[in-house]
Amino acid sequence: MGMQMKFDLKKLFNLDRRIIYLLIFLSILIPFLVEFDLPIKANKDVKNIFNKIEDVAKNKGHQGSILLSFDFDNASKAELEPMARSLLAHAFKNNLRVIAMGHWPNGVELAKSILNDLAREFKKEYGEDWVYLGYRPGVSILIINMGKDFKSAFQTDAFGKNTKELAATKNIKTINDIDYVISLSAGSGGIEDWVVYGRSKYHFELGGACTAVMAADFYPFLQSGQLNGLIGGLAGAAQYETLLGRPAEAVSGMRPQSIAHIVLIFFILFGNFCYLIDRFYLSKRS
Amino acid sequence: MSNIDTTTIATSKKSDFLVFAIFFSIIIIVNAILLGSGHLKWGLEGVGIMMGAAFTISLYSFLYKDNPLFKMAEHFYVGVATAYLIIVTWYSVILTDVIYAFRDLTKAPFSSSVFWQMVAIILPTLIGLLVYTRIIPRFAWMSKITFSIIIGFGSGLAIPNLINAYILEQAKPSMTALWTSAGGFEWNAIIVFIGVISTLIYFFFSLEHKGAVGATAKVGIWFLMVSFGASFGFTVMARFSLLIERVNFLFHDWIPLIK
Repeated sequence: MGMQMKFDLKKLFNLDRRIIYLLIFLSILIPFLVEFDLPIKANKDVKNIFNKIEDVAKNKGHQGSILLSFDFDNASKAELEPMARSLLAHAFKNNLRVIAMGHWPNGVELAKSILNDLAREFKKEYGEDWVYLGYRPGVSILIINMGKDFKSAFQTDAFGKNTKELAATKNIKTINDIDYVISLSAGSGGIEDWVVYGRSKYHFELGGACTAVMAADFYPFLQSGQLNGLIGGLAGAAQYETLLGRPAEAVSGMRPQSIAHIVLIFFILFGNFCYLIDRFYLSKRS
Repeated sequence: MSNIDTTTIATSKKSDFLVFAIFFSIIIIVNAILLGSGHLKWGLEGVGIMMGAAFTISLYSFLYKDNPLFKMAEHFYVGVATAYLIIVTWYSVILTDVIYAFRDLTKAPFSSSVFWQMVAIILPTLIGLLVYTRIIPRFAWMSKITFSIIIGFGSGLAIPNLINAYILEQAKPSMTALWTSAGGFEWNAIIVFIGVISTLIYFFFSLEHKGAVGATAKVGIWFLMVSFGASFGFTVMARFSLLIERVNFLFHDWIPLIK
């Protein structure tokens, strides 16, 4: 009986990984087809970013401005695009001026299309309500330069217009004239650089939005106050969409995400269970 | 080459061709149905969706096993991403900061300020171009000038800022009061305190990890394990998010299965 059981467990140990892939795929597809609601509650770090934007809108009105740094490209679109859309919608809804830029050359067109979509939806005028500065090389040097002389860092916007003539940027001398900076980051040339070369040097208020892979690395920055808030991964994006009352891709993505996590937890427990049983039979035999 | 090798290569080529033929036949049939039913429209967006779907399936086919479709998609990705990067760099950096900037200066009346602005464009450009001397072995040593400037400048810029952001600023929250008369025990501060001390002791190798030092180091290991677990959990979440977006793309934007 023992030998038979051990043989079966060996078969389970050698479970074809493709079966797991298939189950994960189904656990993601099926929740898209079967609709059900899951409670989504925003955590403190996501709320901090939301509240900061609300504060800027309350205190400054249309003169208030936020800078969104699109530090990602298509590879991280799944997690960061919903965040970018929610943050832009929040700023535009509150009539704040948005200045956008990016440290990632491969994300230039993606950022442009997101900005155009939201500006069209909220009927915002380019130059007056929002500006896209595009990609400039340098990352650290660029951030330091923005803190010293914003106009020398960005003499023109992404379309070649002079930043001294655009209503949204003409009064900005240094980065400290911008009320809130948020980096949407997918790796090097993102939040970390904004913290090291921007926040630590010029002490402006900085928020972060990042892929889930990176989120754990940024918690020390929250603890030290170098970041005032953090939106981490698709779950963070869903929390922001909930706070904004504008459920979209991230909220609908929470159903498959939750089910896939349950499937994965099951496989982790199952693997450990098989391992323990096998060890038990091995020790009994010896 | 032996006969066995030649036969293996021929069989592999034949099976590669078969994989390509079956895959593209299926893609063409599905796209024809989608175009015929009016779900997809022939145009830039429609073709983009069709190609996106084909490449997504090709890349995920690696989960079954390594195959020529995956390799094809991988090479396409590398090629397209590099070409895109070159174009963006050309238009936003070389054209704007070098060519147009220099052209505008040549139009301005000559003065010492204009001269120094020209130097500020020409000198860094020349230093940057020195990297390409590596192509000619005789002059390859010149590329070291560029690298030494990059390393020297980068270190000078990074070291003080990193020390400030990562050590000085990070040390502050590790040194907060563990107990206050108003609030009693500050549990977060206590956890941070224990975590920092025990993890530092774990990485302190000048003393043998025995007795009190060993016990503290073990606590440090637990903190490290929790940290690795959190990172792994977040990584899994991130990978699932990417799959969720692709599934949504395949079964919503391409095949209208998801509402």
